[in-house]
Amino acid sequence: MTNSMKEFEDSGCIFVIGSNTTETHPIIAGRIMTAKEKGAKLIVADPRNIHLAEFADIVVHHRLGSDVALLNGMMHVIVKNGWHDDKHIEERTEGFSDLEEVLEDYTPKKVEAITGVGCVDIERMAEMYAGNHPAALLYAMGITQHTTGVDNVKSCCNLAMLCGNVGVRSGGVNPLRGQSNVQGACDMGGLPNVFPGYQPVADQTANEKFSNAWGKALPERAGLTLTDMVKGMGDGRIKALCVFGENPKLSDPDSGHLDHVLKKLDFLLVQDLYMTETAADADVFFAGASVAEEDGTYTNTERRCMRGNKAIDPLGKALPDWDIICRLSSAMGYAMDYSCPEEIFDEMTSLTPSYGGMTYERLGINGLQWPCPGKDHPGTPYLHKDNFSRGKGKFHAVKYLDPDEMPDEDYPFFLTTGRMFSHYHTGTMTRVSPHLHSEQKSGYIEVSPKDAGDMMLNDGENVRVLSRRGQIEVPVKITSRVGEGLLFSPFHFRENPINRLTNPAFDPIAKIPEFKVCAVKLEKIAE
Amino acid sequence: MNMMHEIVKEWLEQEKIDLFIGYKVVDGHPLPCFFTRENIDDVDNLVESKARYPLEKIAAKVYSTHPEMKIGILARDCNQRALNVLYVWNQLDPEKIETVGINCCPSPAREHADCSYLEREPSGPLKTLIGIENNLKPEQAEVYSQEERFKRWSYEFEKCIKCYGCRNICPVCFCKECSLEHSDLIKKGELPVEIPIFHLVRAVHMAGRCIDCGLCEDACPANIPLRLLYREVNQITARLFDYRAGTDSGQSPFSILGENVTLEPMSL
Amino acid sequence: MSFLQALLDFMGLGGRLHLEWISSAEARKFVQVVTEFTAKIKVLGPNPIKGWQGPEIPDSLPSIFEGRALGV
Ligand code: SF4
Ligand code: SF4
Ligand code: SF4
Repeated sequence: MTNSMKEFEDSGCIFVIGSNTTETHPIIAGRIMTAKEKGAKLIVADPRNIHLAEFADIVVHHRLGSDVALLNGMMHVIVKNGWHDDKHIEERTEGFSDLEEVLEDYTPKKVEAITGVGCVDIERMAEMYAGNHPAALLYAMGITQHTTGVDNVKSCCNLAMLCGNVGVRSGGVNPLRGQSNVQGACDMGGLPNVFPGYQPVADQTANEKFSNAWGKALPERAGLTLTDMVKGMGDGRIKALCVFGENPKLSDPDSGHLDHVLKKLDFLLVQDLYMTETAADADVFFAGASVAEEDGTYTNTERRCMRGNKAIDPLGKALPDWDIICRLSSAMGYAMDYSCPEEIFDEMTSLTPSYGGMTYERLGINGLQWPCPGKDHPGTPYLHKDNFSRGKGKFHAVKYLDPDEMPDEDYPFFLTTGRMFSHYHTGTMTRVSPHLHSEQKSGYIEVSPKDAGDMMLNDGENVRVLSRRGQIEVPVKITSRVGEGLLFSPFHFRENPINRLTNPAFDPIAKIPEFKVCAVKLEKIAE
Repeated sequence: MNMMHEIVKEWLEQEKIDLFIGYKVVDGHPLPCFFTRENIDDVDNLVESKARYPLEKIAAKVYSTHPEMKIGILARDCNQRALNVLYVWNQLDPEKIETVGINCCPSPAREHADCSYLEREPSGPLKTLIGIENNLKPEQAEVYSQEERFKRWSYEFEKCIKCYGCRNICPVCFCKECSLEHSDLIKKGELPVEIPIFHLVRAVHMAGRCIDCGLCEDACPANIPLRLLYREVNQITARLFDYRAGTDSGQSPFSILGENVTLEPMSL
Repeated sequence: MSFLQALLDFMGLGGRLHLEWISSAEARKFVQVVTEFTAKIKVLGPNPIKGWQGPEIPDSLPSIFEGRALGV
């Protein structure tokens, strides 16, 4: 996030797109409601009629995967009416004329044809977003998990820069991260092309710095993304796989295919809290420690690095994750002999400028938000206050593209996937909690009352869902949360593994698969 | 060392208590903390602070596994009232509890509570227009028509994210199996929660129990005026049964022991 | 007026609902009897609960936030 959670309470307008905030980021949703009560405007754009929509001034349900068109349409209206922030564009950005050219095409009429959102609504959204400064834009996986994920994100940034909402308090472009420490994992170089602090492996200075610090010449070429790894396993280039705290057999698209390539591996290592579907196939399983059993830090969605203190020692034979990695590395010939997480943290901060001013002592309970480059630096509640990391903010002229797979005669329904409020990802942690499990015990597929009526489906009845990649059976939930022709199903449930159906087509740059759109058909199961 | 420290140390040393539950400042935040005989010097770090946690709930938890343990508690007025309720419901044994009292609640002599409560921000205009302001008195929430009351309360309940924070923090919510998780009563797996059943059930359960500490409202991420709702519940209980939770020491009118497990409301 | 009727009245559901008490088989396991003091509501007549369609968000609202408006 460019900004901080607390700041949303003082936003003039909050635009939520592709995020089911009350269910997936409930505390942020609380901030949004407070903002709303204080008089902020709220715009919700989501293919589903989500809970948060109840509180919105404008709600639109754009067609699955049509985000770029919708955002371009808003920008078209803003530019046509001169509502954009000339001064900000002039001083802080570049590439506006290219964008302007592309926007020319996206008349409300055309956008209505693509997105299904009425011209009037597009105009109202544009006016509301541009007219209530500062406006915060919030998005989640509904923006990123598309073959056009990067384009979608760029469009969000375009909109924010266009209205001077970047580098201001209570504004910004705010991706709500999906896991407690996914921000931290990315910050620490948990990506194939960068070292900690997003220092590129291909950058010579950075590479030398880390090679010296770690006493080993490090590769200058980026590694593989998850999507590439699946391919690598398929064609035999990858022979062994280590999986830490992930359950790809349920969480990856087209899981039938993944099953198949996992079998080709010579060696599979899984480290997790509990036996997962993936772990069941592993040659070796390491029991990791839970949040209550290990010390360390977490960096949350607002870039706030916070300490986690263990309450108890790991149970059974479990070990803290850092310890397992150190032992594994040492056994493989590269000695890692850290005595505690703090020692690792100190080494990391010495190599990562944005974390440079952090120490365990300074983190305290509240933590610090990066960038925090010096010992006296108070941390940074919002980014890009005076300039962008690359100097000027660049507008990217982005054109709308259809999702990889659109419904057709054979597979007439749109299917989208996501989370529901009581479960988390593949349920490895939430389904073993009796309280959370009792909230929702099985998978389901949301079907609109109209479609259910047409197919004579009853609530709770099992239905067969088929895509080009596979088929599953899952109970029907009839609800007006989805419109005609749209289906939604959470991916938490191993009994109803919806990712057997999803499309592995991915974004060419970020390599993120299109979990949010695929085409399926429904079949009533004969009694 | 102040007087409170002396007393607590003395109690621990003389084995009047085995454990003291109070607050300690950690990285600038007062947090609940156990003080023990083994680590008696730590008692010097004990503070009153403005923090409010259901310390008696922690004590009840300890009591459930270590019934022999004698526990000292730093007790504000609200903690004291909650302790009384826990005694009435046999969740704690008064013989095992010692308190160091802090008088802090507002009284005719004192306008403001010396605690974290009453420092809340004023309600925003939307809440004033279509919701229920948190700092109303029950009578003030009764000026609206029936239809409007329902709309206003429903708006508030609509915000609920079903985190169960209100129940989890509540010193007098101690049931092993909570009705709020009972699928026959409350629809599962959906947001918003079933309106108004979820909040109605909890409100009913607070009759004769809620001691008006406001912790639930502090904990509620949706800022629902829960304290106000339960205050009304208390007023009805006082009016119909002449019983005040936390101050009257008798059994609650809502507890009937024995075979008769279903309680019919007395109609007057 | 019974306890529950008074409470429903406070929530704006006065006089519109018929109440039926249910007890659960697990009730005996509860720490105390009061936990099962729980109402399942049966509806008589027009049902305001079903009538609840979500909040009506008003069009214009004084904001306590002083933001920059259009064209400024
Ligand atoms: S005010 Fe809330 S937390 Fe306190 S006793 Fe009453 S219901 Fe429980
Ligand atoms: S809400 Fe009711 S059932 Fe649940 S813990 Fe509180 S009093 Fe017990
Ligand atoms: S604390 Fe508030 S949001 Fe959470 S369950 Fe209770 S009423 Fe709902």
